Parts: sequence; structure tokens; C-alpha cells
Amino acid sequence: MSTVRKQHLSVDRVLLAFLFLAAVLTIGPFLWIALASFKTQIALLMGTVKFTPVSMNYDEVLFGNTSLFARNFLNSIIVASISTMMAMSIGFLA
Amino acid sequence: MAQSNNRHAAKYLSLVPALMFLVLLSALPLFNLIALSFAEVTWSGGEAHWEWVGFDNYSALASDILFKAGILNTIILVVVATSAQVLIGLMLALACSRLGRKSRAYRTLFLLPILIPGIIIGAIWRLMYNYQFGVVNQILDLVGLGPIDWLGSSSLALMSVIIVEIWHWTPFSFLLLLAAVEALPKDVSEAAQIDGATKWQEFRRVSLPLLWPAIFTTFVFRAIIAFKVFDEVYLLTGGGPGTATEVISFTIYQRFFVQDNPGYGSAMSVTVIFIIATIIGIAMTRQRSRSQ
Repeated sequence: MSTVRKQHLSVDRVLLAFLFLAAVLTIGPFLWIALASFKTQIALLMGTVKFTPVSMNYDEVLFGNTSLFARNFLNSIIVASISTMMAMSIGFLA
Repeated sequence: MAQSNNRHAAKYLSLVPALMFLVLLSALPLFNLIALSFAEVTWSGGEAHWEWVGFDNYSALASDILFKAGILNTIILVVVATSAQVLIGLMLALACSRLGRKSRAYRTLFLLPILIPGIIIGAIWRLMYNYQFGVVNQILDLVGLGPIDWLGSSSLALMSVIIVEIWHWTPFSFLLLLAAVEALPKDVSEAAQIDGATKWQEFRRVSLPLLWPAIFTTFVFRAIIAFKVFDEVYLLTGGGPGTATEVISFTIYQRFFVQDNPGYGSAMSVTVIFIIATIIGIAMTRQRSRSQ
């Protein structure tokens, strides 16, 4: 009985390792792009592993004079909400 | 009698708005596209002039190298990426289902890539594939392998795009297949165990046949969506190098808008719609005859 249970546990362990690997592969790219967002252009191009995080990329996107980010985001919200409302109001008649 | 007639009328009347929108938004554009595919459109004086050319647009397709490359690459991409997605998705689903509560955190996590727009996925992977500073080459460098030009080499570029496509859409098959695996009846596999079937026999002869319809549906779903792949390719390689990653939606985009040739682009679109519809039709009838 106990050997069967041991076998079960070791199979579970292999499966967990498999899921963990898949999780790392899923999360990895997100982490990497998140890290890259705190790097300077130079640090990014050099491919340095250790770097001092800077917030200048975020400053530029969110508060920069030439940045259209806020306006474009608003446009997306407008499109998303109006199309959802239209689809819902037509679809609910069905 | 009159009342039931009224009720019938009201029933059909309530269909009218939905039907109207369907005709207006789906049927009309499609018919317009088909009409356009038989015409040569020129622009002069701010107006479009249609000139009917019969089947000229279609016969030109046969000698279009870009079109052939696009169809071929798309089929390779669809077959390889979709098979891998369904296979990996099934493996993940089986593992998650067996581990039960222990896998709850993973289940949520695996769905992350579906939430991200394709254009951002393209940007992320383009950076990661970068020859000089991309993280993929950095990791390879740690193991001692030389840098690989993932997107610039014509033999590897399509493979790189396929990897991104697999990464992006495996969660989708995982989601559908997990629902199917969780819904498997317990009693048949228990019966198989009592009859002395090994784990593999139980999976091969009991679970897999029961899962087959779900696997097939997932495959067809994913194949249809994969046929329309555009944004990742647009950002990753732009169809290059040469025609190595030229997918059909990209060819259509170029002919239609970049070269400003709506008639020819429409002919291409109609042909692709026809090809996809044929494949789906064959697959569906096969499936139906199999299940009967």
C-alpha cells in the first residue's frame, strides 16, 4: 500500500515539476519586458544583467509632452465601452 | 387562432433587428468583397472607378509567387503550431486535472498570455529574439552556444514565429481541454482499472476516445484563428527575410493596401475564404462520419 502511495507521490512530483517549468516559460517573457522597462536604452543594448533601475521610460510615456499615451488609452476605452454596449443591446434581443 | 398568429408575427418581428444587423455587417461586406474581386479599381478625382475584368484577378493569382509562399507558410504554421498547442495543452490539462487543488495557482497563471494583445506579444518576443542583446541568445551564451539569428535567418524565421504563436495560444487549448478532462466520467476509468488495465491502456483506450471530440474541436478552433495570424508576424519579421515568413493575411494586406490594388486583394481574400471553408467542411464531415 505504502509503495503505491510513494509511486503516486513521485509521479505527482514529476507533474509538478512539469507545471513549474511551463509556468516559468509563461512568466519569463513578462518579467523580462518588465525589467527592460526600467532599463536605460544603453543598459538594454548592452544586455547587462545588473543595472540601476530608472523610471525615465515611465515618465516619458505617462507625463511626456509628446506622449499620446493617455489620449490613445482614452480612445481604446471609448471604443471598447461603446462596442460592448451596442453588442449587448442588440444581442440581448435574440 | 388569431392570437397565436400574432404571437408568431411578434416572434419573427423580434428577429428583425438582429437579422438586419447581421445582413448589414456580415453579408453586405462579403458580397461587396466578392464583387470587388471581379473588378479593377482605379482612383481619379476622389472617386473610385470600377472596371469589370472578369476572372483576370483570379488567373493572376496562379503566377503570384508571394501568394504561393503565403499559402504554403500559413499552412505550415497552422499545422505545426496548432498540433503543438493541442498536444502541450492536453498534457498540461491532464497534469492539472490529476494534481487537483495543488495546481490551482498554475491554472490561473497559464491563462496570462491570452489576455495580452498580439501586437504586444510581438514586441516582447522581438526584443527577446534580438541578435545582440535578446535574452534568448544571452541564455544560449551561458550554455556556450553561439548567438543565433532567430528572425534574420530564412531557415529559422518561420520556426521562431511558430514558437511565439505556440507560446501565445497554448493557454487557449489548455482552457478548452481542461474543461473536457475535468468532465470525464470517473466510472469508466474505474471499471478499466478493475479490469486490470495499465495506466497507459486506460488512457489510450478509455480517456483518449472520450476526449477525442473535444481535442478535435479545439484543433479546428485554433486552426481557424491561426489562419488569420497577422499582428505577431507584422511585428516580428514583417514577412521577411525574403518570403520566409510571408503569411497569407500579410500578403493580402500588402496587395490590398500597400500596393493599393483592392480588386486583386479581394480575389485573394475570396480564394482564402474558399480554401478555409473547404478544409473546415471536410474536417467536419469526417468527424461526423467518425462519430456515427
